Amino acid sequence: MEPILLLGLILVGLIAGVLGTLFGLGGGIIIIPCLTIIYGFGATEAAAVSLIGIIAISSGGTAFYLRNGIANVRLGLFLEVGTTIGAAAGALVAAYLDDWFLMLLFAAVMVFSALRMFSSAGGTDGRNPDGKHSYHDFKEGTDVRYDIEHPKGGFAACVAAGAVSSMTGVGGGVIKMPVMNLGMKVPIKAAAGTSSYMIGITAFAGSVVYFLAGAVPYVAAAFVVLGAVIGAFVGTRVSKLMDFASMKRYFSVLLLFVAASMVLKVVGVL
Amino acid sequence: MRGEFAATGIVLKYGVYVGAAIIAVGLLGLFLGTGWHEAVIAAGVAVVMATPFVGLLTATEKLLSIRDYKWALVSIAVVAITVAGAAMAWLT
Repeated sequence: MEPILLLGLILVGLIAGVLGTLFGLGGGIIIIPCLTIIYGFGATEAAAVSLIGIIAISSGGTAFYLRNGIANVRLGLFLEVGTTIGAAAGALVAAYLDDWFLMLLFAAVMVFSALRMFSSAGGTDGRNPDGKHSYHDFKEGTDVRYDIEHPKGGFAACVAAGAVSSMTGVGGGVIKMPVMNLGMKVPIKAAAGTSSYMIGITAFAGSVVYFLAGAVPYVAAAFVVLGAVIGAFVGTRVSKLMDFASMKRYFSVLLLFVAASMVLKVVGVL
Repeated sequence: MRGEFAATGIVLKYGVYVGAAIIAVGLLGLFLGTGWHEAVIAAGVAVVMATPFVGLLTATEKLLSIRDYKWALVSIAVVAITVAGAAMAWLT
């Protein structure tokens, strides 16, 4: 591979790292399209590289969220049980469904989430002065307290999120964020940190399979990881300076962009 | 304000950094045309991959150390499901 293309892989990882950390996504929605469309990677190779890049993004970003008590580890572990079970079930079901159906399903989920996020961008942020959970907001310089609502519904949604993410091959952060923020009323920064923590664990389970099967293109993965580490570092610093309302709006736009890309791919334009 | 799971954060942060450093050495070997770069890059990728799992084990240890057995059990369940899922996928 040409040196300029190898350096481009660092850029792919860097962009995925920044956006992934800011919005609590894995970064797979950036890495997979770039590797398949620009670099011509096969779906399996792209998924393997993406999952390893996701780990680099998730781990670097999660470290910040954990150090400052923003990520809710107990909530993440609780939801991860459902996500992992759903992912296993989804992988089995996916074998019997057509690709176009799965892609449209995921696009519909993202459009719904984006519209919900955007419409509530300036509304409630889940704060409750008497809440049991809390984190420190660096921008405001105050402790933010909140409660977790509808835990059973959130668990069920994460089972579905795990199934949908394994069926579509994209990280589940794009679903977990709206579930936690809109459904469970977790403030978006806490939801982003918790989602980041969960994504790393899920990505490990997937990537280790590719690794053991010898399906990892190591050189490409290496360049993406280097970019992702830098991107996650930058993303966490930017995250400290942003307010939740603008984060919701940016996240909504990103969801609509990815949804439109998936629909265009289904109809053969991309 | 220091989070309850800050130690897990340290494991995640430095696990990825160590993995990235090993990868950087491997890539240096690639550009120098050495014969050992592939193994070093693979080792670095393996370290990055294993980092969240080690972080999960660290969180489990933290929950056990503060006698939060309910959540330690949940954490152990995640470990078990993750390992079983990977093992099943690999075997099949």
